[in-house]
Amino acid sequence: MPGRLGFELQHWLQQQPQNARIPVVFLTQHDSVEDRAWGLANGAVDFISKSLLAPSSIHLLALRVRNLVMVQESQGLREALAAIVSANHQINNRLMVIMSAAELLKRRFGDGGADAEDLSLLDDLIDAADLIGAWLHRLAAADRWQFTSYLEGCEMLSEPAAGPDAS
Amino acid sequence: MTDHPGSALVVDDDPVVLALLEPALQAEGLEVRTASSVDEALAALSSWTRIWCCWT
Repeated sequence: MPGRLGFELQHWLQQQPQNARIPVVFLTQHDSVEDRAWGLANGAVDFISKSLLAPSSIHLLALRVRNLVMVQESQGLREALAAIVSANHQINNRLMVIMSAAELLKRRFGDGGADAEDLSLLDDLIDAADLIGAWLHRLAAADRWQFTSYLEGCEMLSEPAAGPDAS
Repeated sequence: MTDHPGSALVVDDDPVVLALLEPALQAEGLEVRTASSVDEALAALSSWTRIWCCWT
């Protein structure tokens, strides 16, 4: 084809924001140049001939789909990492407010002779905020983490440099 | 990715095509679902969150 079924489904996918980016591959038999143009203009990433369904070549067809899925997964990961970096800035700004307030309170209590338990609680707060800050610093460069080849064509994520110790 | 295989939804009104593609894609490590109509495909899409590839 793609016949009515293929075009109808693709049209429906394009209307749904959560589905609009699912890559669609058409298995084709005798579709016209016009059909192909419409499909490619509306989100189809590829057309594969139904002749590849033959036993001697179906593995080629499956490999093409697998490669497509791998590209799509990498793209999804990169977008997720970019979202982490964006959220990181928002969290970090609030963390700075918390840390400044805790330091200020500690100084005031210290001057006024507060009891040791209160000061210890403030130290716990500052220590925890410091640790969160260290992890945020590590995540701040998440969008520059490297995708490196792994087994069987899969990819893995690795940081370019070691982050802070999580002690 | 070895722990989280990609997914493919195969849609075709010809059951022979579905029967050929499902095992071939599974052999490449993909999680495969099949549908033989638009309604079946839409049901699969609404209940399945990790779909990367869709065939028609």
